Amino acid sequence: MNIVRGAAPVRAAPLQAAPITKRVRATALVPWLYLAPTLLLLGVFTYWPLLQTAYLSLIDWNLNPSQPAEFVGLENYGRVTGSTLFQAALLNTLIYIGASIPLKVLLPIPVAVFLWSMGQRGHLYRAILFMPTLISFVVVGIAFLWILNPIFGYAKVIFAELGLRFPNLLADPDAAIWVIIGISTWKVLGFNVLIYLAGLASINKEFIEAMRMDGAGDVTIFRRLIWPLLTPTLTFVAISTIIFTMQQVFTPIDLMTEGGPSNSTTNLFYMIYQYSFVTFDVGGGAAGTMILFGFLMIMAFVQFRVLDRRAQYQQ
Amino acid sequence: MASISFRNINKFYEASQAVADFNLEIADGEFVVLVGPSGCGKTTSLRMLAGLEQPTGGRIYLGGQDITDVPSKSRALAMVFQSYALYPHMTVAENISFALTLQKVPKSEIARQVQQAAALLGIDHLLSRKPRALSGGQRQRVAVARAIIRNPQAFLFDEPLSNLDAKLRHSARVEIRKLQQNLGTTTVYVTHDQIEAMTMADRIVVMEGGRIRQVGTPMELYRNPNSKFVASFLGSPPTNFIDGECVHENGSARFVAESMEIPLNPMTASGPVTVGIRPEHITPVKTASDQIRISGGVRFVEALGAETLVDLDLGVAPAASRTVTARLAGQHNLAAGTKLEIGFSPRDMMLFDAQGNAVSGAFC
Repeated sequence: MNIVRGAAPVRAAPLQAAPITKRVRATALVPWLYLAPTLLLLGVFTYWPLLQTAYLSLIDWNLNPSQPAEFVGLENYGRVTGSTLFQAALLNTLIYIGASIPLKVLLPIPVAVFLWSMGQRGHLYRAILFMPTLISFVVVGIAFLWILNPIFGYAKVIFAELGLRFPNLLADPDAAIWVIIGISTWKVLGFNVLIYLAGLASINKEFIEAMRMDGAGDVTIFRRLIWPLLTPTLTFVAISTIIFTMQQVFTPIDLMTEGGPSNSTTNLFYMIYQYSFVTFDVGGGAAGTMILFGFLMIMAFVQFRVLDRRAQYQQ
Repeated sequence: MASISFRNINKFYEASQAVADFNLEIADGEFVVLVGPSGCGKTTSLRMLAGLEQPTGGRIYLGGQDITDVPSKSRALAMVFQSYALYPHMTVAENISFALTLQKVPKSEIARQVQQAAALLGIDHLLSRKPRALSGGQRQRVAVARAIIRNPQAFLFDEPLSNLDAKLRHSARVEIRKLQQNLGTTTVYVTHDQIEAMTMADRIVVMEGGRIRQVGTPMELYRNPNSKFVASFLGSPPTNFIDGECVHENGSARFVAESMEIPLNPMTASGPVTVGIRPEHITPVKTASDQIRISGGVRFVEALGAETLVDLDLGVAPAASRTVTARLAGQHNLAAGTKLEIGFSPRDMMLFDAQGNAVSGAFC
């Protein structure tokens, strides 16, 4: 291009200036073109809905397009947070999360270490444990409804054989949430075991042998070698499980208890669904969503701060 | 520090036998190198000594005590792994001191010993680094420091130099040997590199197919290999072998291979035999009257400056070509295709029977 420009008569230079600037502008546009699909999708499906939800949380509307929306300010927030439904949902959300740390994040570790130490023979158990992950949660929910059915359920029949009376767990406000937690743990355990197994597979067996030669027993090897080298995997499992748990239990809640009995199994996700699509209280649902959004942001921030700092990364 | 003895050790992995009838006595303070090609059972033998593998049969003794059923952690042996196996989440100092912290040695004492071991290996400036920030040579030193700090009964080395470049390997060889001589610790060293075996060992154990082929000092094995395998494995470039036949006639015996004829001791049994001659024992000049002289065409020349490696084709027929490699001192201006006469003394030659076993006193 330099040669062409140099060879051109001096008078022609101002005429050429225009196409060059145009070309420069086109070049500057190229990165944006590459980014466009992602930006477009993020904009349309994430950021625009977020702004829209923030707006909806400030109005009173019942989802009917012919009904005028009325601006009510922060009134929806006060109404939602003051409701017993929200208080129950928030408390249950904390219970779901609190229970998922020992059951879904920590319990798979000893299982994975055990399967790992079995070597080749562990493959079959791994496959069996992974099976629940592959089954649709709707199928799982219905299957457990049958098992736990107080009139003709398998659990009742088996208990009767043993001369015991099977309690109606799903009708008991204290027990129902643990049924949901139990089922969701059963479903996700094998998946998390698999992730931990992948983390364990990246640990060089010679580290373990070196530690044995250094005089370490199994407990020391786990505490001083396997655990620290497994922390990056633990971080990942903890963050994904906690965020995933909040959505994952939606299906069994909707299918098995619909949040009941007396709001004992509902969580923030299900509450939002009830506000928006059961009672058509769009403002309430949007306000709940914004609260949940803030809640998740805080959770993610805390997790990154607490776990990431302690994680030991390999080379 | 202690003596080590392997008695009738066997190791099977399902159907295949990795180590067969392994018997070896290692004296206190001795440096023994197990050498052999891949899959010869040398690493398995070392790992059985370490307690990382359990022998299928036989007993292992350390300082006179049967340790066959003692777990690795209680054997008081230190091992340097091929991959070094430095704990990636610990600093160099933590890596070196790990065994001492398990033994609940007081902190000030640990610090002193770490400092001492690190100084000995010239890594005292690296103590606060993580292994990932070290070069291969530095990692290897940390691994050695981790082994010596324990003041173990014996050092076990599993191909510790195979991940280093050639120059570093040479200096590490010398350093490990010096260190061992200063500390006087019994050492078992596994390698597939015959140069490491020759330069470092008090005694070499040559293994093949799970069995010990020969045990001896480097010079014993070099001068009197008991088999074709040992003769070919030790020495670089490897020993030249010429297949032929031992023929008896009128009470005298000769080695015959095409046009080549070499007188043999009449006691040698007739039949197919192989002559071995090391490349360094071949000279172009006639140094002794009893030299065997042959001539061949130069095929390939590798000039190394201090010496020249010449591949000579002795073949009569091109299809049955036979090559010998000569290692000539200094520089030789030889072009491929040149005819060259070479000679070697019967005193330097080795004879092997059809099974590959050495026949002693075959040359008069």
